[in-house]
Amino acid sequence: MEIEAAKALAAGIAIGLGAIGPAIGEGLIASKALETMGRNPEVKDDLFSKMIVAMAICESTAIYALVVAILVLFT
Amino acid sequence: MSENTMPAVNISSPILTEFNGIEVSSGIVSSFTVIILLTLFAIIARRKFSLVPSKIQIALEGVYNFFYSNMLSAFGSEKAAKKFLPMIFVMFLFLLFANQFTILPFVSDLALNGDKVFQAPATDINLPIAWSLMIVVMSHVLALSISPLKHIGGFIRLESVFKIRKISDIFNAILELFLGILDIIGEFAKVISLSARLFGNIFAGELMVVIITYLVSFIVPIPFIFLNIFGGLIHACIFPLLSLQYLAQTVNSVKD
Repeated sequence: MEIEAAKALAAGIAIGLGAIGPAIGEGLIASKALETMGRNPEVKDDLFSKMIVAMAICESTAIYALVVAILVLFT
Repeated sequence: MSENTMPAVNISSPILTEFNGIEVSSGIVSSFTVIILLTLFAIIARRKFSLVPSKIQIALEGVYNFFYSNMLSAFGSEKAAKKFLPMIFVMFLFLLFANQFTILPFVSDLALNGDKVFQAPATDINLPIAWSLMIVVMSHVLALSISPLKHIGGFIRLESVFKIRKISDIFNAILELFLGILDIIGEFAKVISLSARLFGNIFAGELMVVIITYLVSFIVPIPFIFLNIFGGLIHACIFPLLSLQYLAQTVNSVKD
């Protein structure tokens, strides 16, 4: 297999598999947050900013996979 | 006419000139420009500070209170919170300006001999790595200066080795030693995760905008640019927040 084909395959698999977990995790975070906001509307603003922070931290592993894919593809 | 070649992607920032033996790359030029802009902003905003606040003062005080309340809850004492607040707040301000730097109109188009002069400072891998290393090393140096034996004892846990009475205690001791070594690896993971999060988000966002603009130049890049703005704001908040959590965690584990 040529090196270019291997690079393309590796980048695709890296980001493809790496994006599954964080998507599920962020969906869980959002569902719990929305459920709590529905049950208790007065904590809405406080909870929303904390939810955004939690989502950004949960996104990190997808970003690691993205960095690996970019490194493999472009160097 | 638009160019028809695929935009060249480079992870390292191009080196522009040399200055007394130091190679000046476009990352350095962009960082210093952001520093100058920040200083100008601080000087201009400070003139309007009064007891009846203007809009900029309200916004800055709101963010200051956000970080201060987080530091109080993380550190527990007001003195420690005030000691670290300048560093954390300046990190936030720098990232706030730096992540939006390429949105200014002509900034991405300036080129010197075919190399870009300005780029978002966080896309140069050196900036996130340097900041994460500084935070993690600072937390360890602070913990060592407060109580060295207790800090090292948290990583190399020998006290369970001295309490061996039965055979089953040996398994306990080995487990504790192994967990201590995993904690040491966890410290390196902190550096990598903190820097990779910031670098990956900003670099990947810019890369996506460049590629989409190459493919369809008109209305389609707009959502991606909004995503970049939003993501830049979020990560300007998250990097200082996480670094203050790491500092507080390490320092509070050696305090009594």
